[in-house]
Amino acid sequence: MFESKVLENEEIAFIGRLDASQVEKASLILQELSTSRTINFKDLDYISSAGLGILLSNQKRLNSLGFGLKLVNLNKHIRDIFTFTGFDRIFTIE
Amino acid sequence: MEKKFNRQISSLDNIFLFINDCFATQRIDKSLTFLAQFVIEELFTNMVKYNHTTSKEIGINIENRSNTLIISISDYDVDPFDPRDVNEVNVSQSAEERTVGGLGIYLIKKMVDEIDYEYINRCSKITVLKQMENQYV
Repeated sequence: MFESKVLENEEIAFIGRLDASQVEKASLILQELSTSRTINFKDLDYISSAGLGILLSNQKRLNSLGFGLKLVNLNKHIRDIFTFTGFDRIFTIE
Repeated sequence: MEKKFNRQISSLDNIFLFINDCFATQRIDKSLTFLAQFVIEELFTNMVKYNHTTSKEIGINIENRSNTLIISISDYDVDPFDPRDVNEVNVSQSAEERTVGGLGIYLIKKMVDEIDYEYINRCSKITVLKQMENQYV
């Protein structure tokens, strides 16, 4: 399952599994954003290409407005996926 | 262990439970759990999205053979689709140029040691192999 919440520091925490059956939940959160924002992946266990897709489409939308997403605390597996796909150059990652 | 699943995206929850069961009962290296989940989700969802000629269930088999993880996914009564023929993705493109098309198969090729494909009697069967580096703990 997937859920999200806004942290005290205004980061948005993604929690659980961002797979094809859950991606709509994340999409609803991301499409509301209209400025730069940090997404905290500390408790995100898994992501598939469906999850990458909604992150990319929202990054494109925000870039066109002069903003972007920053992703923090990626686990090793998710970080590898961002590296393999070149998404580590499309997003700010810490 | 083999199990068949309804060809709908909402089957993923049950598929992930099945993967966990297989890893426990067959003493498969847990560090490969993410890989197994990713490979199976990408191939399963591709079959659900693109094979519209059938309503038959999709078979998933997971086994530990001599310390090699072997995952097979079988789709019945469909046209052939060999993932080895999918074009490479240009990962150096800018955000504006990028799409996610082909990313799943691209990543599977990066993650696993070998991909095999067979198409017999309208059954499309994709098999991936990954050597385990760690013993089951």
